[in-house]
Amino acid sequence: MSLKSKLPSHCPSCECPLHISELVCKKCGTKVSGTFPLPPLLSLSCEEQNFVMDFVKQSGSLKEMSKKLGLSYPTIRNMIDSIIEKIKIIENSEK
Amino acid sequence: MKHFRILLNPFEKLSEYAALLVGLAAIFPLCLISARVGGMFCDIMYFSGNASNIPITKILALYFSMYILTAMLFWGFGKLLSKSRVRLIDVFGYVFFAFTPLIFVPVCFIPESSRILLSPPQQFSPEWWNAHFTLPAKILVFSSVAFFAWSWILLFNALKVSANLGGWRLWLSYIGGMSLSKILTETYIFPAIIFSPLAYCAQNYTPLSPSASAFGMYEGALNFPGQTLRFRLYIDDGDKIKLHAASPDQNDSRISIENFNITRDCLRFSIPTLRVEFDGGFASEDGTQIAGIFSQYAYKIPLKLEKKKEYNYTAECALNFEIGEKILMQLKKIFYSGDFKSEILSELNGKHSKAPLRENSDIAPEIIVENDIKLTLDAGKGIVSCTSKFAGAAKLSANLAAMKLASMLKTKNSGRPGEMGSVPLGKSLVDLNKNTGKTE
Repeated sequence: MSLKSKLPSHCPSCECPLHISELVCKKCGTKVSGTFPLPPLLSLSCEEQNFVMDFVKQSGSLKEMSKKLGLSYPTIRNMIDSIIEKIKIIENSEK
Repeated sequence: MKHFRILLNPFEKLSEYAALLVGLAAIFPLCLISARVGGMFCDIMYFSGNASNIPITKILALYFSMYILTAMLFWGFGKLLSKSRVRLIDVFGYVFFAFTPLIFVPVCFIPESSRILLSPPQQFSPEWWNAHFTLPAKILVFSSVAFFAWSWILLFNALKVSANLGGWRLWLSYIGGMSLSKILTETYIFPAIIFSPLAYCAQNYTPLSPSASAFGMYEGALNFPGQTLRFRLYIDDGDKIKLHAASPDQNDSRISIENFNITRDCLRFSIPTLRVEFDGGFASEDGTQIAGIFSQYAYKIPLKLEKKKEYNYTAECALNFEIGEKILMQLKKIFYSGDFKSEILSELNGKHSKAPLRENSDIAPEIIVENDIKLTLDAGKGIVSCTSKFAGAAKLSANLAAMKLASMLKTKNSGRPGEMGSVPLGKSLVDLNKNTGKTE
């Protein structure tokens, strides 16, 4: 499964991080209001989120990812490293 | 455009093992072609080196050492500066692959162009290019630079991908790795490979016997990686012993050696300005051979010098001149048997040139040479201005190297050797008929 549309993570007006203010149960219509921060993974780009999904599905094997995407092992590793870096930055900014 | 990008950075898709295999496979044809062409193609700074005197096994070792050292340095920089886990196999595979374009460089030097490697000129003048290269050959030689550039770009991307570096860290690692690799290979690793450990073993020196003379001119060959240079050592007697060094392959001008120690057991000298040192001794009792280790920069080269035999010749000369004045000069029938290269130094229209005596009769048409001869006209203290009947020769310049030869010239007139070295040119050889142009 690939993510088709990305949940916006930053305000298009002031570029500040967005927060979730309301959650709805589709079945009974219950609404929960509050201020919930977005999980760091949701702040990644669509491609990065897809990559993380694939990586988890391949049991975290870089070699398998390399085969699946047709990229070299170091390139896959570099992509993961850059996602890790990004997540760290997001986490730090939230603190 | 996409294909072009892949040519410059195939590492995003190329497996590290496949890259290593390709890189390893490419070394062997590279060595074979290098040996065939007679040139080493490690990088652009070294591409003109002459490898004709280096065995193919050593060429292989040279390329391997350069590849491995570059990979190790990249890996070291990656470990230091990268936040990612840098694997040795990635760096090695990609670095070996990145050197692959070098295989096309020697191809550019086959066959006509290889002369640039076998006899590189002192200076690459336009005249030299035009004299030695056809237009296709020139294009081919210059196109080799593109393959070096390709290799450098591949190396840059190999480091970028394998060590996951970017920005200043990438540039620092690349420049640092390449520079250190260059310095270490040329100063330590290449000399160590080319000169086997045996070269460093002690030579068998033989003290000079009391009756033997050390004075004279000694000649030997310096086998540098990339080229062989003839080296001459002059040990002259006089008020005090004087030593001079010269290389006929590098202008042949004598360099005075101020720091030396010569005894019957040893001979040591140094030329600090050239960072040259020699440590050796006489290799034969009769003083006909000198052996030792010649060091320059990091190179340590075994050098064996042999004393040149006394020259056997007769000469008939006729010169009319005075120092500083216009003279008429004729040299006739110089018969000389020796093993000097034949050439005459001339200065024509302000340009210095060397011309073989046999080939350029315009300069000295009356000289008849038997065997090889080096005749250098020595004015004692510089240039003798002269007009001569030799077409085109406005000046004949002096060369100190001729002093010894000149001092041994016998003249028909005097029949005495040895005067030439102490008096201005010609006065001991000929009678002076100033401005008459007549000869004996």
